[in-house]
Parts: sequence; C-alpha cells; structure tokens
Amino acid sequence: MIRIENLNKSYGRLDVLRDVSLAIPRGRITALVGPNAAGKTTLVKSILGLVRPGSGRIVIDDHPVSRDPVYRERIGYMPQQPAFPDNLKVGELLEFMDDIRGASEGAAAGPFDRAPGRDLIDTFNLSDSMDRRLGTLSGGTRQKLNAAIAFRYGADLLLLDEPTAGLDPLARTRLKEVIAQERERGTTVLVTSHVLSELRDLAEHIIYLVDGRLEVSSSVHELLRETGAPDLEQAVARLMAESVDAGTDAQRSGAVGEAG
Amino acid sequence: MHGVLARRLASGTVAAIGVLVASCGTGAPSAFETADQAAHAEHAPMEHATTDLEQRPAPDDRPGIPDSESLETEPTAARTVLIVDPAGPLSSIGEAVRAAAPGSRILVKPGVYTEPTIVVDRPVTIEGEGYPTIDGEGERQLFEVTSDDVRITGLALRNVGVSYVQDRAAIRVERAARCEIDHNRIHGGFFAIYLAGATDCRVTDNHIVGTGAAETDSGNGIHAWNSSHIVIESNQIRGHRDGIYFEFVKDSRVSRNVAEDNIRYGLHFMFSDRCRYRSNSFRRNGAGVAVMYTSDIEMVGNRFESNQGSAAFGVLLKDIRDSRIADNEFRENSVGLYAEGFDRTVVEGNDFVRNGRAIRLLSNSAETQFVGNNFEGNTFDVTTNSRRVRSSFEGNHWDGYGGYDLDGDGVGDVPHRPVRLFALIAERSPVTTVLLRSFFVTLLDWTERVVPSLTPDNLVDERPAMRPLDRSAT
Amino acid sequence: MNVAVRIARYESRDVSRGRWLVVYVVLLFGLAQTLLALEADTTRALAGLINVVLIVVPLVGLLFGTLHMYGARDFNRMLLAQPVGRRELFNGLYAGVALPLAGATILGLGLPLVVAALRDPSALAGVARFLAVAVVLTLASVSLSFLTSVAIRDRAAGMGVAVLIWLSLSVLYDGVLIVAASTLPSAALERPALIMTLLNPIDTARVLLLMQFDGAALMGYTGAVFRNFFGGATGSVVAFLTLTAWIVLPLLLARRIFRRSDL
Repeated sequence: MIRIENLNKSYGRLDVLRDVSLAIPRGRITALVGPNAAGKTTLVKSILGLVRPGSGRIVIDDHPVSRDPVYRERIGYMPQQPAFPDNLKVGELLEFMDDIRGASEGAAAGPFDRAPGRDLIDTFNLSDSMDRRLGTLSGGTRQKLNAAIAFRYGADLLLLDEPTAGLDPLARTRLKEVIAQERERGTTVLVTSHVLSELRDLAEHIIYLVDGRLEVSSSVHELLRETGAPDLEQAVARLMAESVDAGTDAQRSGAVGEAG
Repeated sequence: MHGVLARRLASGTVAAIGVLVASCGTGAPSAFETADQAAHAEHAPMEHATTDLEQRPAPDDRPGIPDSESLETEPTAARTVLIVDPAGPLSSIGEAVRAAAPGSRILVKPGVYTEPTIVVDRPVTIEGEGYPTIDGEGERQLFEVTSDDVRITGLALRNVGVSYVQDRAAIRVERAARCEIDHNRIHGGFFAIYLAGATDCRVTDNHIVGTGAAETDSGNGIHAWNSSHIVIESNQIRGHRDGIYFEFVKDSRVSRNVAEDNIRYGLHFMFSDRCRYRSNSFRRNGAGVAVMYTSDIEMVGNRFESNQGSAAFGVLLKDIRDSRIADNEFRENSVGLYAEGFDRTVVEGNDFVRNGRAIRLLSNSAETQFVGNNFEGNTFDVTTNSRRVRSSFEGNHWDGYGGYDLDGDGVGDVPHRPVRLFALIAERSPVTTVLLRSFFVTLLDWTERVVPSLTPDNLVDERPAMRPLDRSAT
Repeated sequence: MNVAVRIARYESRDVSRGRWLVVYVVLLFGLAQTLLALEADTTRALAGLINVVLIVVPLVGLLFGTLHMYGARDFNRMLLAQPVGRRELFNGLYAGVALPLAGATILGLGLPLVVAALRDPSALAGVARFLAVAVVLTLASVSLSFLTSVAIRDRAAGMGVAVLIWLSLSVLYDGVLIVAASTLPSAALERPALIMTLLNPIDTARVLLLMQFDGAALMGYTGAVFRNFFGGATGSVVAFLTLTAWIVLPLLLARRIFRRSDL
C-alpha cells in the first residue's frame, strides 16, 4: 500500500499539489482521475522519485520514498507517450532494460519478493519487430513496447499513465486483460486516464484530483452509493459538475468536459 | 723569394682556368684552398682573392700540412725538426721554441704539458701528434704568437682560466701575419683564439668548447680585433660568450663554421667592412647573431636556427649598408631578421621558416629590397614600427597569400600585404601575444586585409609568387 | 558491472549510429584531408587546422550534447523509473555521449593526420598534441552542454544559451581581452592575461596548440611570467590540467543540478 502524507509541490509560484494525503490500497486497481493540470502526473512522478516533494512524504509498504533507487525494483511504469533512443533496435532496448534490472539485482537482492515477469512480446505480436529501429516505430507499437517493459519484471506496483492511449482495440482489450490478471495475483495498480470508460470494468478505487487538491479518494462502490450515479462515468461527471459549481473557472470546465 | 712570386703568377692563371671550370658546372663547394695559399704566400689583393675563392675548384681536402707550404719552404732546407716528449730529453714546448731556428718544425708527442705561457717569437710550426694536451691550470694564457708565419696545429688546449683583468686566450696572436691555427681542440679557453692586429691568418677546423656559464665569466671563441684578410673556416664553437667576434676586421672570410649554444651571440661583428659569411650555421645561441656599423658585407647560404628569447635574433642588423643577404635559411627564431638602419641592401632568396617574426624592419631603414624570399609558417611575416616604410618587397612567396593567379604566370594577381593588423596590436601591447590564432584575431586580420586602415600603406608585395621559390635553381 | 557503464554502453551505441555523428566525422575528415592536400608539409596543415578545431569542435560538442540531452529527456524519465540512481544515469549519459563524440573527433581528424604523420615523422609530436587537445576540448564542451541542458528546462532557450556560450568563448571573450589588454597599462597585465586565458576552455586549448606551433613567437615575449609558462613543460601541464578541470567542474555542477531537479 502507498501512503501519501501532506504532499505539497510547487513549481515557482504555481502550486501543483496542495497538501495531498491519501492511500492507495494494496492489491487493487486505483484510478487517478482529474482534469488536465490537476496534478495527476506530478503525483505519479512523486511516487517514482522524479519529482522531489516540497514537503510531505510518500511511504510504500512502510518504506519512505528516498533517493535510494532500490525501491523502484518493484515498480513497473508506463509513461504517457514513451520515447526511446531512436537508433537502438527493439531487441536492444529490451536487452538494455534487462541489463539495468539485472544490474541492480546484486545490490538489491532481497528486500522485495517479485513475481515472475510477464512477457508481452507475443501478446502484442512484437517478436517480428525485434530488429526494427525504435525511431521507425509507430505510436501504437511504441505503446505496446512500453507496456511490455512495464510488465516484464514482475513488479508488484504498476503505475500506468494513460496506458491504452494509441492502442488499437485488440491490443487495448489484451492490455486490460493483462491488468486484470495482475490484479488477480495481488499487484497494486494505479492507472491514470481521462477516458473513464476504459477504467469502468477495472477500477475499484478512485482518486480524484482538482487543481492540486484531493477531492475524492474512495472505493468505487462507495462513490456510486454516495453520488447515486449508475456507473463510474456518471459519478465522476457529477463530481466535476460540483467542482465547477463551486466556482472554478471556465477553463477548467472545458477541461472537465474533456476529462469526462 | 722567387718561388713565391712565381706561385702568385701561377695562381692568377689557375684562377682564370678555375672560372672556366666552374662555369662548366664542376665547381666543388670547398673552393677556397689554393686561393688562400696565394693570399698566405703573398699579400694578394683581396679583390683578386675573393673572385678566386668563389669560382675555384679545390685540389683536394687538406690533410695536415698544405702542399703549398712544403713547396714553398722546401728550398730553405736549413730547417730542423725538434721533438718534444714528456719523457725528454726535450720536454718543454717553450724550450723547443727558444731553441728552434726560424722555419723549424716542432713535433709535440702525446702527453700533458704544463708550462709557462709559450711565446712564439719566430716562424715555426708547432704540430701535435695524437693531440698532446697543454694545460693552463686555470691561470694562464697558453700561446702568445708574436712572429709572422707561425702554425699551430693538432693540439689539445685546456684550462686557460677566467680572468677579469686580461683577455686571456688559449692562443693569442699579436700583430703577426700569415699565422695558421688549425685542427686544435680547445676546451675551457677563456678566449679560445684571439687575433689582435693579425693579417692573412687562417683559423680552420678547430673544435672549440667554452665552459663559461654567464657572459661575465666567459670570453669569445674566435676573437679578432683590428685585423684583416682573415679566414675563419670549418670551426665548431660552442659555450663561449660570442662564438665568433670581429671588431675592426676587414676583407675577411667566415665560412662553414658552426656556432651553437653560445651564451650571447653565435657571430658578432662591428666596424668590419668587406667581409664574407658563407655556409655557416648559427644555432641556439643566447641572442643569435648581431652585426653592426658595417658596409659591404655578404652573407650567403648560412643557417640561422632556433635562436629564441626576447632578445634573440636569427640576425640582428644595425646600421648595415650596401650589403647582400642571400640564400640563407632562418628557422624557428624569435625574430628571423631584425633590421635597423639597414640601407641599400638586397635580401634575396632566403627561406624564413616558422619564426616568431620573420622580418622586423624598422622605419629608419631605406632602399633595401626584399626579393624572392620564401615565407613559411612564421607567426608574423613582417613587422615594422611605422605606417610608411622606405624599403621594397617584390616577388616573394608568402604562405599566407590569399590571392589568385588567373593568367597563370605564377605571380599573384592581387598584391599581398604582409603586415597583419594583429602584429600592430601585439606590438603595442605585447601581452596580447597570448591571443595568437584566436578566431577573433583572424577576423580582425581579415577585416584589415579587406579594408586596410592601420597597417603600412606601402608595405606591399605587388608581385607575390604563387609557389615557393625553388632554391636548387639558384 | 556498474549501472552507469551499462547505460553508457547502450547510449553510446545509440549515439554512434546517429546520422549527425557520421556527418561530423565526414566533415572533419574532409577538412583535414583538404588542408593536408593543400599544404606542403603536415605541420603546416596542422597549423591551418587550428582554427577549424577551435571553432568546430566546441560548437559541435555544445550543440550535439545539448540537443541530445533535451531529446533524451523522456527516455531518461523512463530509465529513472527503473532501479537506477540519478548519479549513475548522469554518468552513463555523459560517457555515452562524450565518448562517441570524442571517437568521432579522433576518427575524423586522427585518421588522415596520423597517416600523414607516419610519412612525415617530424610532425608526429604535433599531431599527437593536436589530437589530445581536440579530444579534451570535445569532452569539455560536452560537459558544458550537459550543464546547459540541466540548468535550463526550456529546450529552445537551452539551445540559444549553448550557441551563446560558444560565441562568447570562441569570439567575444577574446575581443574583450584584446580591448582590455590594449587599453590598460601593459606592465602588470601578464599574469591576469594568462589567468583570463585559462578561464576560457577554448583559449586554453588554443594556448596548448600555440606552444606547439608558435614557440618562437612566444619566446620572443619579454615578460618573465610568459617565458616561464611557455618556456618549459610547465605551461603544457598547467593548461592540460585546466582543460581537464573544464571537463570535470561543469560536469560535477551539472550532476548536482540534475540530482536535485524535478524531471
């Protein structure tokens, strides 16, 4: 389980995260939603250690996130819009990642029991592309490769930023199946997406950020009950409408529509 | 001395033949011997002798005693041979000289001789066998020659010792004619060979090494004062104050010597008109070569090399007139040729290679012509101290020339200005030397070349040679 | 094997295959070959190449390094999501970029020059020093490019600053020095001038080459500080150490910034 305590982050005068405290339950699929510029990506980056919090802390299973990179052994990460070195081949990139993961094995042996990795090369029909240069890949293939890397090392914490973006329907379905399987074996999954329908079947917990502030963190079940909405999409739409009513500016309402 | 007269006549004839032979292309480089014997035997007019020596093929290289002398002295058969040997009975050279009749030969056997200064007051030949050593024990002059027709050869001379009151030398020649000092090895002479008031003397093939460390405790290698018709040839001189020093020396010749690593100058002369310097090498001397207050000199085919320092010059010429400086090589000197009061002189066919400043020409020089020289890899080709110069440059090859030759006649179609703007800046503010080859400096020079505004207007080579001038053709 | 070395291995593989690196090698090769063909001897060709090296090498190092760092930003995030420390990533990135670039310098300039020097052994020392300076200057300019790219988030601004650094170091700096040196009284300027020269890596590289090609001119200078500096090995040693500092110090500073910043 990930516990976030009083997390603040600002870039200059722009406050991106304001005193966010929440918990991401272990072994569940949590949806991180919110309009653009709500702080979703900053939150994910904070968990990864890419962003240094202004104050507050993040604790993963009683280990506070620190500069020691070892904790990332257990994380699988799919960035939004992955970028790879153009002149390496697909096979070489996987080799590279394997090497890095292997490299720290000696140093980090022990603290985490990782499940065996999941090889998605065949799932996404990537084996024919192994000799292609990464610079020549289409967006979809890139995203498949992105997923393949995230799932490859048996992580028990998956951070997936817009994982289905750019995927064809078949691949999208397969990815969702894989995520479901991961959940079955107890992996904690945090998914950000602005396409809520993608998360409808998966999400069990929902975190809703607006303007750097935590608006909602609850189980989907509870959320539906509280809002009285028939499904997740409508529940979120109602939440957003509330925050617009609460006097947020027009720009954000535009973003809300997008997020819905 | 009928023989002498006959010889002189003969020498004239042979010289004439020599001219013919040389023009047929068989002239050997060591073309001096016979002419010299002529000068030696008699006061042949120097004009005559010089034409001679330039054109004349040598009979052979001289081994030991020149044949002319034996020819010449054969008739006076009265001469004797004295043998000096440390084992006796005659064990002192000085004693031998005092016992010798004029024209005698004193043969010195191997060994070390320490004796009072040997005064050679009669015409004798002192000849060492296997380089016998004469040691001055750091406190005296070794030879003092006061007679004409003395020859000193094949000796090892050492430890003259420093003197601050007297110009002590290994061999001092005082007001004598026709002396010959050759094939000696002189080590630690304060002065090595000192000629005062000498005429028609030959100093050849000596190997001279000084041991001085500073100018003040070191004398000159070959020092000539108030002398004339001297020949200094094929000597090697190092470690002295000046390698070769001339003051008030006329009509003399310095050739094929090597002067290197001397403390001050490799060659230093002043008030020495009508002298010829050929095929010498001057290397790594503290201050290079300096020649001053002299007219009618000729420096041809010399090498001035690696004389580096803030006051080091390939050649420093001060108040030199009506002279010729040709076919020399100036290489890697801080200043190749420094000219001050340098008038009516021709500087032609020289190579200036990788000098700091190839030529530094001060504005008080006039009517000097720089023709057909090659400039390659110098930091600065020409520097001066004025916007107007009164000397001319023509037909030189400049490696920095950026022009073209459309008509293909080998001459650049655009004039070349050899003075860079940066040379002026470095002149005024020497510390900027450290910015050499900076891109900014390149831009400055380029701008100045396009729109000249600060560099001398008339320092221009109107006919720059496109290709390096070939030396083998001259 | 260390993580940084693994990163460097793949990074350098990526960089070496880049089109621009090939262009760079061909450019250097062409310049060197042209000068060798135009000049009679190797030493003079080298002297002609000095300006090229002092201009092109830092420019390419700065631009190439900065561009690469901005381009690699997303992938760097991905790498940092793995169990990889920032220090290791940074070291690996630097080696992965600087070494192929240094290799390109050696290949482009070294190949023709070494071949020429083998035919003209008198130029060998010059060629060796020339290549050493070119390589060290490459490493130093990549260092500066890394510093630029970590200090400035915005890619366009960063590229602008990189070009500005190059322009300042290669042209403006010397212009200011010349003006200062010619207006101030010359007496006490020697040491400041030397220090100012060593405060600019391009100038330091230039001085190292001057010692090889303009020794005669430098020794003609009257001041004692210059004479001691340029006269023996002191100058070369000090200048090479300074240039090494120009590799290390910007790199350490850049790494410090990189480790603390939000990515």
